[in-house]
Amino acid sequence: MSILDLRGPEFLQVFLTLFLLLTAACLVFRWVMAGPFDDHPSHEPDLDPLEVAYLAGGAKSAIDAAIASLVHREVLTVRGSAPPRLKIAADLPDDAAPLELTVYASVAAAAEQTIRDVRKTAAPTTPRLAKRLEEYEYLLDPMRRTVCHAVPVVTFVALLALGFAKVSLGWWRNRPVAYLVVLCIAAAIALFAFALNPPHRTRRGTRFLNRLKRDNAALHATATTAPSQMAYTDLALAFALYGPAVLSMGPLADLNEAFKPRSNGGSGCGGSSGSSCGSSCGGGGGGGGGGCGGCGGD
Amino acid sequence: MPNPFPGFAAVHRTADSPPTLGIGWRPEIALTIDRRPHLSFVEITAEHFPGAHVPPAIDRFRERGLSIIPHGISLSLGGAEPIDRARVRALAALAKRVGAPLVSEHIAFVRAGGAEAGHLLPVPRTRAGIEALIENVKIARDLLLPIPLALENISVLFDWPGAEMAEAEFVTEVLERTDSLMLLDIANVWANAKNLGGDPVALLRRLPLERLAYVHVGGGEERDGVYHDTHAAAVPDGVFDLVTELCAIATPPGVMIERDDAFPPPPVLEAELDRLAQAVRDGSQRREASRVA
Repeated sequence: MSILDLRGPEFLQVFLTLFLLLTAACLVFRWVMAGPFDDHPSHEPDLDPLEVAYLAGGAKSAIDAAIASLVHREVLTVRGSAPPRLKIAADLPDDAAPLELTVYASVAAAAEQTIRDVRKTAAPTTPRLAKRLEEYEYLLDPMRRTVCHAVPVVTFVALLALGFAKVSLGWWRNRPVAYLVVLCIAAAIALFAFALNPPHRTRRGTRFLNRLKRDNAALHATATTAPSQMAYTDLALAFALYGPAVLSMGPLADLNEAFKPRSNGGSGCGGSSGSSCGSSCGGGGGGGGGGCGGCGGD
Repeated sequence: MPNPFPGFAAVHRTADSPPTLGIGWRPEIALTIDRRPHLSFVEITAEHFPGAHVPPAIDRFRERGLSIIPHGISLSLGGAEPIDRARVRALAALAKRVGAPLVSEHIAFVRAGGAEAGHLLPVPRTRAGIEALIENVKIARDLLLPIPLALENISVLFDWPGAEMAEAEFVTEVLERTDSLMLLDIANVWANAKNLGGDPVALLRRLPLERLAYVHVGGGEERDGVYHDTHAAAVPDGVFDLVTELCAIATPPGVMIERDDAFPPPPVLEAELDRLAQAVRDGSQRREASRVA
């Protein structure tokens, strides 16, 4: 007798139990696979901002951090709104990082360039940023990354296939299937959650990143209120750690708008400027920003 | 001079000891402050952190061993109306949240008859004025216990007519009758002397410096012949000189720069802090020399 031959209520119990057990098992699996768990035995590396961005969110984050740095240095500007495009505003400084050079070249090649196209052009050059991160085991190696991603996805695909098969059978036999459909939707949500959240960092890498965020909290406060006070390396690090939310003033606010996913033609760009009033008054404190994706954050 | 409040930065005891330096925290200069070595305390404007929610950048100071002092601007202690106890409780909650060694507020009023002045206004130096002020300070002090309260002198562009006592006597009586500490704003002393006349050093000598908690130093601008203490400009030379004069008389447990707007580049702010430290050292050395002589 196969599982599909179980009566409706019994199948529901089995399916629900499988769903809960497999969800827990996949979470534990991803957690276990995300080692090492301890800090690096020797000193921690002094990463540059683009390496930190790569650690936080992979190639996309690193490229976006390079773009933010170049806009802050007034080498690139943001023009238009549907979609916004990057345009060269000045020559590239001599101390530009290799990824900044790639971003600049991508924009220069077409006079103006969308952010999506810059990301596409620059992506193949980003793996070099992973080198030191992999040496310190802050990133999952490609094999573990693939296994860590694929196993939960395959598991939930199989579970969903089982559920759909029983739904089809029940519908064909004119049996009630509403509860099972609801459970299949829950399983589909779990599948998408695992599929769209590919693992990236080890637990060690996540702990290191969280420490950096905590130790550099002042970066967030100044970046969101007075970015002109910051060197471009500081702004890039703030972006790497706290994401586009730190881009809230002047030309950087235009860039923040440009980074947002387009829906239907996009909106105009607007900068915001904070101001402080006079004696004994000032800006309020900022809160902590969000992190980027990864496997099993701390 | 004994340390009037344990838990705050240790009073430096010799002319060669590094001054206890602090600065008013603003998010715009958070990075500069975070990277400045040898800071002992930061002051935060209490009303900027409702619900006692402080950003991680401020929590970091506690980890580094800096003191955090909440500075209120809205209690209106000098008002004729009783103060709002909810505001005092909010100040107390923030002080507890950040482990503050003390809190500070102003000898001023900011509201009356339901209208907000939007600025710190002088209390009439009359018997009625001082009694109202003392009553409010005692209410605040009791609600803040066990956290000490320091009271700050303000800069004024006018004096109420009919003053019954001089500023030094007014401040001294308030502090002594409420057993409060003193937050001495040197820039305000200098500004008031410039605008209204008087000898700022003589004023300093008549203040109860044994109650000194810490010192404010800030910059301002002259407009139409009147000096405005805006905290949005460089600290004038005269203010640094007055710091030296103060330190030749007494040792402040802490001195800090206030900057609220028009923030300068980090090197300029750093240089101002260095100059403040030097002004303190110069005064302390003069005091040591005169003691030996």
